[in-house]
Amino acid sequence: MSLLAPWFLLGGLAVGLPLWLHLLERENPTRLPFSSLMFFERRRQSSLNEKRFRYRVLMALRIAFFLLLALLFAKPVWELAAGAGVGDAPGLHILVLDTSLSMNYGDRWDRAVAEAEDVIDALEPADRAQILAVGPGVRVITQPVGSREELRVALGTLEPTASRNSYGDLAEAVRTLAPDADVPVTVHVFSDFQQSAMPGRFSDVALPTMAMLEVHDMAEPESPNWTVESVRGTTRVFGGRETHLEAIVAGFGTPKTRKTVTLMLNGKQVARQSVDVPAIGRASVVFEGFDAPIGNNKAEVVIEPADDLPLDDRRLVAVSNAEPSTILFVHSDPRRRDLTFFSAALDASSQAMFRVEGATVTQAEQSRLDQHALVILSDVPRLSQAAADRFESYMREGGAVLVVVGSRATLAARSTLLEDGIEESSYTGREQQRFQFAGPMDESHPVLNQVKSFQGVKFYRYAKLPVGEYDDVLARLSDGSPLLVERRVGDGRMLILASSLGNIWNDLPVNPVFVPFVLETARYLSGLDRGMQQKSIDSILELGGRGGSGVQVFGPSGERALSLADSVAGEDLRLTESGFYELRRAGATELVAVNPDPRESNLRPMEADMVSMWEATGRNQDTTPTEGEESLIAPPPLKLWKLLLLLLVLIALVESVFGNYHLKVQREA
Amino acid sequence: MAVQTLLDPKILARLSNIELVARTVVDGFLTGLHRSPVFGFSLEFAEYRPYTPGDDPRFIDWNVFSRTDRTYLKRYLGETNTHLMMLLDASASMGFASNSVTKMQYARFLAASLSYLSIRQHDAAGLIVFDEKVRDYRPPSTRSGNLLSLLHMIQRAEPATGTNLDLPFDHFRQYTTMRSLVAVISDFYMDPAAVVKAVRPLAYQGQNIVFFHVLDPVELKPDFDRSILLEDMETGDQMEVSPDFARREYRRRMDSHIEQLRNETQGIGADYVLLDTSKPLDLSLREYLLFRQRRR
Repeated sequence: MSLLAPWFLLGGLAVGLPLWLHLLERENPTRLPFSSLMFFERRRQSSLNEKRFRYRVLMALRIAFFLLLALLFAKPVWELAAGAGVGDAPGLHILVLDTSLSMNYGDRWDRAVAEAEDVIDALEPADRAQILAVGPGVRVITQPVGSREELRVALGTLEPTASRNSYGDLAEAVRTLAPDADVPVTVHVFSDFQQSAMPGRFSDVALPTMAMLEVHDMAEPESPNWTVESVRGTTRVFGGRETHLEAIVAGFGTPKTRKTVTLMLNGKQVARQSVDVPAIGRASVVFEGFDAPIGNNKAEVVIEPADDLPLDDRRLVAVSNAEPSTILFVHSDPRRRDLTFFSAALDASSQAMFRVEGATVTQAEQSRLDQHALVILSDVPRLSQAAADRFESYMREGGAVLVVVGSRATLAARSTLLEDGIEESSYTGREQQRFQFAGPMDESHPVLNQVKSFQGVKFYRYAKLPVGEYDDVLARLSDGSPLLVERRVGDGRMLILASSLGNIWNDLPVNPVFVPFVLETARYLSGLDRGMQQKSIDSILELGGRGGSGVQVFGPSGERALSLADSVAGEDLRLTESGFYELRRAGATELVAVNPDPRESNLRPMEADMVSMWEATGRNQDTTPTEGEESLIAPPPLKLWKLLLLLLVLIALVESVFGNYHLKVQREA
Repeated sequence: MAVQTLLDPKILARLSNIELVARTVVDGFLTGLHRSPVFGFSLEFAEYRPYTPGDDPRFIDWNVFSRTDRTYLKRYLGETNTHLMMLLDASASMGFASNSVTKMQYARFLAASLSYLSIRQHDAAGLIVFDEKVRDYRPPSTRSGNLLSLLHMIQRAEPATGTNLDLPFDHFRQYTTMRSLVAVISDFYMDPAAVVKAVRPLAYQGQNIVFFHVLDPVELKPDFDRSILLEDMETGDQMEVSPDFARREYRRRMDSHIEQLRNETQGIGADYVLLDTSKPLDLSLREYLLFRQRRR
């Protein structure tokens, strides 16, 4: 027997109380002068012993009470001998069915179900079993039950999916379920034991010590599989520019073979090629120049002939063909060259995503801002309050503005859209070759990611930008002054450049970095900085950010994937099906292609050593008691607190009866 | 104030003057009676007897003296037994009390009351205070100052040492030849046979003896809730006794002792009165009066 909280035994010192009371009681009788002892006798031994015996019994009961109470708090447990009560004890069997994509290979799933049924039939009458499914996540199909029929029915409801599984999730589920069981637990895993399903840390698959792993391997000795591993390319085209898609065909455990790769667009074949895929290798197929209708297009790359796992023989990708987006370039002086430089930089991009539309302040105030992907205010002096409100409203509803500060902007007491105003501009002077360079910058930002550095750009003059509490300073000058600041305004955003674009305050427009800077700024602010989204099954689609409010999501089957309330709230969505999800926002519709996780296509199984190591984390299979052998399995320790509590109650009752008897005798006298 | 209340020993104990106690008890007791008993002198002539020193000279028949030159007292009916002799036990055990009244106090009240009643009815009253020896003695007398002297003697009696009943009885026999009413007031912690043996000569003399057995209620029925160490007030011996014994065996023995004492004393023609110090004194007085009536 061992004690979980041995320090509580110190409470046993409380037995001193009954000892003290009883001893004091016995040794110090009351003295009383009496007229005569003529009719008295000294206490006889027999009556004394009788009374002492009765008091001793009472004292013993009280001592026993305190000792048991201390022992109860010390939490004693009885360590059962290895093998004690295991052989014949009812067990709990957890049947885990792998429902990931790889289980669709050949007849793996049918064999898994058949073996699971065999296990159910082999259960002892007192055994209970529970069914779990892993992939996606871990799903509890049944609670521990003893009914075989119930288990078979539950088993019949399962089907393999296109999801990925993780043995780390499985082990965590077993660790959660098994500690509640006070009987031996056997975990039957019916899976192909893919290497790709193992987590990064081996300790994540450790099983609890009372659980034993039973491996039911459904993998074949040879399981060659080809898949369209990825499709990359230009998924956004503008104005009919050339399309370009590159598909990678991979083979896992495969011999060299020839595959036919077909490009389908909106359900129609648009291109077809043959490619030699090396043994256990990859091959690339390029599709370009195909016509993509204006709008969102559903493209699909399919390899043929199909193999034993057809679900990964195709890959979906969305291709968008749209007219170039317009940028409203608002400037104060048409003679200035800022518009020229900006337009030239955009034209230098091969993508032709944008079309720049110049406008004066007056024209901009009358223009419909929501028709533009981006508004640039280049050195614009003070706007009217109405115009400022329009621009601010445009931003709050998801619009984007680039504010470039120049001489006119700094002259105004209150600059355009900058409530705090421009304090002053700093003039370093070019005559004496005095200028600022760009200092630290946030290269992780999408705008600066391609720019890398403003090295070589000279800044002769710049404005002292007001930086709010929630503003992000993306770049600084060498003296620490902010050069580029980003500010969130409602659902939209604003970038503020502290130096003009007219090659007067600086020589940025004539620097090679100007083109990528302008292009990335335009792409970032317009939201066109990324291609059409491609996601894997069970991944999360983030719906917040620019235009996140009011987005409606429709699944591959055309049904609404988000409730109206969630649509308004812009809640993120877990993608559970393979196919195209349609996102409808105000003024724009976007397609998201969802494909199975490519890791599921690699059917390479775990090494045998790794499986053995996994088994060893739980109750060792080799120590299962066999006939005639001494078992080494240690069952869970037996908790004694219930028995002790019962004894304690019994002693308290007996002590009460004894004590009341003594008191009653005294009252009657 | 009710008679019973007056005779409550606890109330009497608050009275500092024993004469007052005696008057309170006797007058209160007599007031409660429907008729006043007549004791002592009656008007019916019985006989002449020679005058002896100490007799009340008021009763000398002067006619007889003038004719015979001898002094004779006229004796009337009811005058035959006019001497009351009280033997008051003042041993240490008489000092026991479980409430506010000790046995000694109770005995004093009784002796004082008997003295007052006797003198009031023209009986001569005397007193012997004893413990291991005779501590004080006053022969019976009807003189006017006798009552006060008796009361003072009674007041002075304090519990002292052990008990020896032989000595006072010897003393009484030695100094008294007349037939008397002998009231023995004690707790009688002695062998009843020894008591009777000491008293028997007096009984043979024709003395009328009444035993007033004074006991505390705890002595009659001790009730201890735990083992207790008792200390003998006369010998100093100590003994640990169990409450169980006190409740059962002791009571049986005490009852047996009382019964034996009653039987033994009544066997020699004496009277026995058991007095509980928690009870009012009228009981003892009533017994005395009944005894007097029977004797007539």
